[in-house]
Amino acid sequence: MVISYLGLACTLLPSILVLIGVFTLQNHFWLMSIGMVLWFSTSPFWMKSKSLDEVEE
Amino acid sequence: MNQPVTSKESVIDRLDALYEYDREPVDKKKLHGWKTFIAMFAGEHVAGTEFVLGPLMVMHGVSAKDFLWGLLVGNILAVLSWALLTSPVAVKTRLTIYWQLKKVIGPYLTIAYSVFYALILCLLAGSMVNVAVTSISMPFGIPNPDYIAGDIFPSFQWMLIALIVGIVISALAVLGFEKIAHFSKICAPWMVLVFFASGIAILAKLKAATPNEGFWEILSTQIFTGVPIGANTKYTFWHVAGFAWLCNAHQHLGMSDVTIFRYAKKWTQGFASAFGMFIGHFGAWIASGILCAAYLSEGFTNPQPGTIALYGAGFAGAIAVVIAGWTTANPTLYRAGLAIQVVTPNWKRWKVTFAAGIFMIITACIPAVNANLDRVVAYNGLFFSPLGAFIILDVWLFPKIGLISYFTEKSRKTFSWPSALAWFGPFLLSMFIYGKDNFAFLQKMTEGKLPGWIAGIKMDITFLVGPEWLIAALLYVLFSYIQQKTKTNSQLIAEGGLS
Repeated sequence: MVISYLGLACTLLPSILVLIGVFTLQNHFWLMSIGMVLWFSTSPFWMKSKSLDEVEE
Repeated sequence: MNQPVTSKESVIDRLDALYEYDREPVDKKKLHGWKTFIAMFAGEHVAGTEFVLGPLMVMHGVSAKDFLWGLLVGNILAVLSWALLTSPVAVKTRLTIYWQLKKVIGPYLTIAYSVFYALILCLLAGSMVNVAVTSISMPFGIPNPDYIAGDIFPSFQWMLIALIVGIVISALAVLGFEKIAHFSKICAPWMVLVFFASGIAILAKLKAATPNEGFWEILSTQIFTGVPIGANTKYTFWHVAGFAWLCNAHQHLGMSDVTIFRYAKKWTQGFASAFGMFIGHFGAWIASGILCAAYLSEGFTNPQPGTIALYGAGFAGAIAVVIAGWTTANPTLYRAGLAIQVVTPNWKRWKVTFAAGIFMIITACIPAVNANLDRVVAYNGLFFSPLGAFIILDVWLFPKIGLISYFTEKSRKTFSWPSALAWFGPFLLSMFIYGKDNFAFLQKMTEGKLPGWIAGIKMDITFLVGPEWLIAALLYVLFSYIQQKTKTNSQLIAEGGLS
């Protein structure tokens, strides 16, 4: 779960760093790709989805 | 399931059988809290369509001020429609849209609803295949069709990719709908951030190029210039507000989301729709609008979902477009198959889904569909919204004014003439008012022949949904009154036969 959230952070935070002038756009692209790999390789293991027909706990 | 249809009733029986599992109102044990609805709305309204609709507003030359205020007002109205109209009906009755409609408009009109709904779903699924292919075509060096430049059809290679993508999506809709639905939920949080991150980064890029300008100046002079691209008409605050409010009119004014909100513990959970509207139809539309406008301002032409996402988010953006298109097309095609199955009773499920898939692939290969997606969505709202008005009136107003609720069901009628007239009458009238200025054949037919006051009504289709909804509601009350006060029906009601 920590790695998944790290993936989401890699997706969003670089754009803010670009905005404040710390990062280049190219680095932002690279980190977004890494973030994508981190998210999709870990989130399916803990993210559960249930249909509306299932009883809420 | 595969018995031949031998009588008119068997079509109705079959339709009932398709929805048999949710015939009864939802049990109290199965009700869900806020968290479920917030997650559902936030996930559903950040989809492939957002990559098309934000840029469409830019292509229609909306100004920054009109865009932001229009989105704010339109989305607030959409949330209020869900919270004050859809959710209270859903919580009171706890029935799906199918069973609501069957009680109110009768089985035959419900079949008509299903067929028209299937058509619009195939169009929307095709539009999402188009979105995915705009990204997949890039590594192969296949150019995307440019509708503004006059491309009526894409190249053969582009259509080949659309065919392959369409077949894969159709196969997945048959084989593993549940898994795709789960995958789309996994994608949702990441997709939201891809939208926001790419918008922020591109805004930063423009800011770096013009350091002396503030963000508002960049937004109003470099991004939302207020100048339409190509032959597109100019959109104003009213277009944006109207569209943001009514792009989901089928779900709120048209009541189709009673199917979801019947699981809500309280009607106030309708306000959870704000998470879908303000993350998706506010944040994501602004972000995709920024991407499109910045892409154009750099001298590129033909902004397509795939190209603008690659421009703003690199490889991850291109993948996001493919996933967004795919995960939106898949459930849409699945629902279309379910709706079409009503009129193809002898067909197996996979055949129906593939038939819908063929229509979806054809639609994907028509660039005009995505270039006019706002129109397609507006026709959808215009056509289905009156049905929501009938449901509201039956549930809330009729008992208070001495009319019988669900009269069609209680009197065992299979066709409700008040619903048919109040549905198709205002819809055709609205289409005429819009079409006399926008459809060439109607313009030709009516030129110089209409009274001045009718010719003087110039309304965009999104502005017509509200008046049409109100007229349909008034006509439905009037016609229902006439129907229920006829001698035979009055006698039946007086004898207690309909209670």
